[in-house]
Amino acid sequence: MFRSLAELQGTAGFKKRLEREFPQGAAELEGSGEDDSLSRRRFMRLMGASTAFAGLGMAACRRPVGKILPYAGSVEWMIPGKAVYYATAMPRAAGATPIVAKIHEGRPTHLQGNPLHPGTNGGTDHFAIASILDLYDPERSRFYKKDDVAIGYTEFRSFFSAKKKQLAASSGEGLAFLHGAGTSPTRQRVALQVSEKFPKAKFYQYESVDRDGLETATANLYGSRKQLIFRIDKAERILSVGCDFLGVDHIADDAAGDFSKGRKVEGDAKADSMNRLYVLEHQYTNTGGMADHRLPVKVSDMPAATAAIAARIGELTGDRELLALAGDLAKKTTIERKWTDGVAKDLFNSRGKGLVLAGSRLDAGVHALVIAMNVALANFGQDKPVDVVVTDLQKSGEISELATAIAAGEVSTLVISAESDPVYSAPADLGFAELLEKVETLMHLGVRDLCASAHAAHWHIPAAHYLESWGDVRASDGTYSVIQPMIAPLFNGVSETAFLLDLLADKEPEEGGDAGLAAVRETFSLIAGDAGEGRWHTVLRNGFLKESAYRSVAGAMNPAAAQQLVAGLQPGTGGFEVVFTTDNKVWDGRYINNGWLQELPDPITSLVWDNAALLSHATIKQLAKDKGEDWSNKDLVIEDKAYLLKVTAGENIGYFPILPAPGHARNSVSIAMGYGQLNAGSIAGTPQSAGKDTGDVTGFDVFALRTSATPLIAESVEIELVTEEVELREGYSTKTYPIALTQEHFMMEGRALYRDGTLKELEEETAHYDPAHPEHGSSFQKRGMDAHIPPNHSIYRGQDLRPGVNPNQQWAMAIDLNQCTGCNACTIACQSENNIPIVGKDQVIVGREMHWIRMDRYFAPDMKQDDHGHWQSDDEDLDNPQLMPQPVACTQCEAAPCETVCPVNATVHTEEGLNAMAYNRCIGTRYCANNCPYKARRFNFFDYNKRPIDQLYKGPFSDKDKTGVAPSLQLQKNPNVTVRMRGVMEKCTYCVQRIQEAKINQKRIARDSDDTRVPDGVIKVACQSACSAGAITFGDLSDKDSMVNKAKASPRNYEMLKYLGLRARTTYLARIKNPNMDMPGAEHVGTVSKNFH
Amino acid sequence: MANFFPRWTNTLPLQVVVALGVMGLGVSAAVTYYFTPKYTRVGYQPDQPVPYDHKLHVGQLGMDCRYCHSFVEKSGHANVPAASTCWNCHQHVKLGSPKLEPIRKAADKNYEGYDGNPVEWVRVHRAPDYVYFDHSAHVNRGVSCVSCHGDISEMRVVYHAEEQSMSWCLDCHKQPEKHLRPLDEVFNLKWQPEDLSRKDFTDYLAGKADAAKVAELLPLPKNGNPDELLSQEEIGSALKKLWNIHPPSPNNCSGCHR
Repeated sequence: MFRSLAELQGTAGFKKRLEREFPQGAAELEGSGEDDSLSRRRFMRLMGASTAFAGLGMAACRRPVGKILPYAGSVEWMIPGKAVYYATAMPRAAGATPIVAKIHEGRPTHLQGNPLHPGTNGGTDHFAIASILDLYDPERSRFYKKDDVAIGYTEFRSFFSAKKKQLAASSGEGLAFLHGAGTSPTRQRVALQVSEKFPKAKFYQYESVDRDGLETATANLYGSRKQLIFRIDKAERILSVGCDFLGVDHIADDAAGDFSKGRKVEGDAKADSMNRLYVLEHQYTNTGGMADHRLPVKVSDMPAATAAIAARIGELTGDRELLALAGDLAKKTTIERKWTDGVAKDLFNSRGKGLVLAGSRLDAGVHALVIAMNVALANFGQDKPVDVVVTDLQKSGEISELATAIAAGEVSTLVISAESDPVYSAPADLGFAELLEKVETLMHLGVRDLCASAHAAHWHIPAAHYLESWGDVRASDGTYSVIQPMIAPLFNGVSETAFLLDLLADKEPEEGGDAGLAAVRETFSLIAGDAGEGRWHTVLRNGFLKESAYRSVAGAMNPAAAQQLVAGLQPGTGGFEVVFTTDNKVWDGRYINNGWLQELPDPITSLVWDNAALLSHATIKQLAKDKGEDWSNKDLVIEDKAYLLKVTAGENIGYFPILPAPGHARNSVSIAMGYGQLNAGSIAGTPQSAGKDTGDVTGFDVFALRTSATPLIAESVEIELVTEEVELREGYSTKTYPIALTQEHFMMEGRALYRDGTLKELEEETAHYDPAHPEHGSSFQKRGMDAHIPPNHSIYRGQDLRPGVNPNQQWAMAIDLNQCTGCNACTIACQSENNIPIVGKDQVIVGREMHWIRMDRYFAPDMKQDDHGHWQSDDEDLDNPQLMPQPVACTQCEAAPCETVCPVNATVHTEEGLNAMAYNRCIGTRYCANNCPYKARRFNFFDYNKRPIDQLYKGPFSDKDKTGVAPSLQLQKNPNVTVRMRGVMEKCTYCVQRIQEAKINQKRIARDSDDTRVPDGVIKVACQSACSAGAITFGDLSDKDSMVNKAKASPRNYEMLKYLGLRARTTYLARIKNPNMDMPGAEHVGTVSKNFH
Repeated sequence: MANFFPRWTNTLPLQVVVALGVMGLGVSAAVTYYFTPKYTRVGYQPDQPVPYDHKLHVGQLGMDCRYCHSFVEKSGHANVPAASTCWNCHQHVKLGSPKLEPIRKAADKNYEGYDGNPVEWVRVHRAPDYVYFDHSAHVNRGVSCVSCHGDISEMRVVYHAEEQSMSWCLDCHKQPEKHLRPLDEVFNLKWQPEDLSRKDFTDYLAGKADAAKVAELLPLPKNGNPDELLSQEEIGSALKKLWNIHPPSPNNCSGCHR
């Protein structure tokens, strides 16, 4: 089991990291920014001088006069000091994420899922939670712009009124719109009105991460305006062909939540109903990590692999049509027969309760095969795992059609509102940026004005964020939600709908009004049938319209169309392929200026602030061999740096840092899209690498290599290892590139930190496990040091926290590793709730990231013992290791080692079992972090909350106009959590502000009774409410019936580093796999920690 | 060689030591007195933009605290009233008074000087940013306004009556019985423990607990007189036990610091 290659190889650098509280360099003031003369000594001298001067002034002797400004007129529903919660929804490309926004005095501070929503049950993801930072982005579009220069509103109005008149006269001659995919019924209705008023206007849509394969196949097989919906919770056997439904492939709004329902092994769930997941994928994803059986397959080999499985299913079901469909393609597969046989048999045995999925970006032919398989297996139907529904959504034209129209001179006025930034991301062969020069008037409507499309446009119109405008949306199952504004537009932006309405209106838009409201209400009355005031308010309150999901239709698929689509499929050629993957952090590049997402470690690679080329070890070594170098696995690792890969596709050349990726298919390169954007903002262009110029751009642009014919992969490419210095960016030549990987940060020392098992093992353990006698323990509890080290009795007893003796409620947490997919939503939710700053790439490299809850990700290859008895793994094992994510935060030890070493009692134990932090007391000795075996403590080496990340090293000498946090970012801060300053230690406190709020609320209810105990389930900590999979349980240990006690009664319950005798309040539940013993390699599944002693 | 140092210098070291000692003592005494909230806060009495007279409104007219500080039972923050709250009455009363000028500017839409800007009250009581004091947790559980703010109903201009330092907070958190009173009397700033008759209090307790428990909560006074006046200690201790009052102790920093 390893977290990084350096650990696997046991390099010296890795050992050094393991032994330190913070990684090497974290505690030193070295390589300080651009100014190397700012050494620690010089810094002290300057600071001393400035302190002396400050003392002379004696300015701080008088009490500063504070003001209280109440409202002039009372505001409805507003209680100063209390948060208000409103339901709304975040529009997504193919659905929506229903959310509840927490509003403090009129400013949204935190987003959570909407637990009432029937489609998502409160599920969210890190993109949705982090979108609040986009609202407050100080570099958001603030002004109308002409030729990229800010202008006044009146100047734009005079142009726009003239334009409207001109368009009306010519009935919209030459008018075209390029918008993003979306499911807003109002936008569609208003767009229709625009088409009526301007009959010659044309609509096109563009998403760089599209679902074309799935949509084309559905339309061809079932007719237009049909859509497939997936009910993963109803599937007991799932096969995913390149579909990362637990990650970035958005096939259902709460796929992770649905999947986790079938993953439960205790409580109400029957063990034999646990689902089983098979995954074919080219790179490791969250979905692959949850798989019971996973096989790395190149994307170009997926059509043949799918056909092979389809053929096996065809044989079992006796379906001639399916056999014919799979045809010859099936024979060309490279997958071993035992694999396809095993999957097909299992799917066949659970007909009607299985589901085959394909990545929505895969070719339509693959989807046709998959649909045919689901039909043959009787998985289609109203209460079955997959269903056909009628939608009311219409698709606009393709971007390639728009390109043709522009080339033919048919477009004179183009309005770009697509969030995918088409000028930057459009397929390279279209030459979109050059084509746009032919467009007379190019308007851009967007939240960001620092994107290529905005830079290219003649006129830029600031758009309203979804949290500040009226709108509506349909979730992926069709449930209708109204998007209500949480705050008035911060920078006078207009929504897309309001812009279209403005185009239709004869009058000037009302100042401060949102025309979208009336339009949404009209759409609502059309959809709901009854537009009564009461019903409207119910929908606003709940966040959705009941029973508005799409209607299921019975329909047979069209086999001829399927045949035609499948005929277009080609077997893989065996050469190199470059796969353009959706990024886990910036999606397709739209979140490039979102610091939270940029600094969120990738769930698989743990890379931050960059993208990279992911390759398997064997492939990298092969590339080295091509260059005449003989590399072993050890040579692949250079500390904090990466070798470079040169990718040549026709005339286009791209350089990308190489990341050795365990579990990656050979001869395949994955590169995430969305990076390398120029002039895209200060987060997107963070100065990197201690002032050594790397071009001030995060990541590398891969769109130049992408063509419209194959937007998912490029096959005719040449790749080679860079061995000479190359000019990576203008004026920056190098052979290697600095990268920030968090995988080795905050490593713990111990064995069997992560525990797993199989369903069979769990059944055996459950049969004889008695939670009343934990001293006997289950096999899960007796691994690693716990197998042989006698219990450790702490001489430091602390308070008596036993329930019954101590009258207070005792807080505790259980994290179910069987549910956790490693998606990182908890990390972002924690960041948003607890005012955690970002620190920038340089700081991450030296290990100073501040996330309170980190996702430890382990790879576990099959190990074999060599002649000397050492455990070794070869390249074959590294081709498909198991992946295990484990969220770690402060475990609130009852006998906490950090507390005993604090010289100022800044960290103490409360009567409720919390390991509390009094930030105002902390003097920053860092002894506590030194003594924490979980490495859960974070130190503010700089004023991260006060200074932008490029000004950290300058301290008091930072640019005057850059000092301090932008006012808009201050609005996001949670007022109930201290914003920590430089020199203060911080860590997870189980969201103590939420606990206190609940306790005080209970006191308010109790009044003159003694009922002061907070009922179970009332407190939901931030990470818990963000977890779609429901992996985190929090509650009161002294309440016998609490959910957390029930979770901890499982035989899977174990305490990490138990042998230290710390009595951690957070415990983990071991992961359970459900292997199919007919599959190759099944004997290794779920047995990683079994032999740890 | 002549003597460089005259005779009196022989005692110089002693004089220096004594002088330093006296100075040191003086400095320590000054710091302990002048650098503590007792000196820096108590008595702070800034001028307000509107000379609102609590003694008139509360003391004489008998207005309840919660008419203006309306969310004190619901929220951690005891709100200062919006100008519209003042305007509820003052649109009828003393409309022309020049003292009401800022209120009219904020709330009277018919007034020529109306600008709708809030009145800028000067803050008297200020907890540091890292202290999360919650009013609702206190007033809903029997701690009166008087305990922290003094008798506001006697103040023509509000001043800082109590020191509100951390040790002052903890005094009460260690011994809440010294301040607890029946919920009905929380906003009665003139209430004294003697105002509550032993019989009424016993009846109240009997409504909440059985006879044995009542006897334990409120034992008979030592002199055995059933009409003996109640003391604060007696009322407080009984309520503390009955209501299960457990304020965050000095060990529990997270009660007030997060």
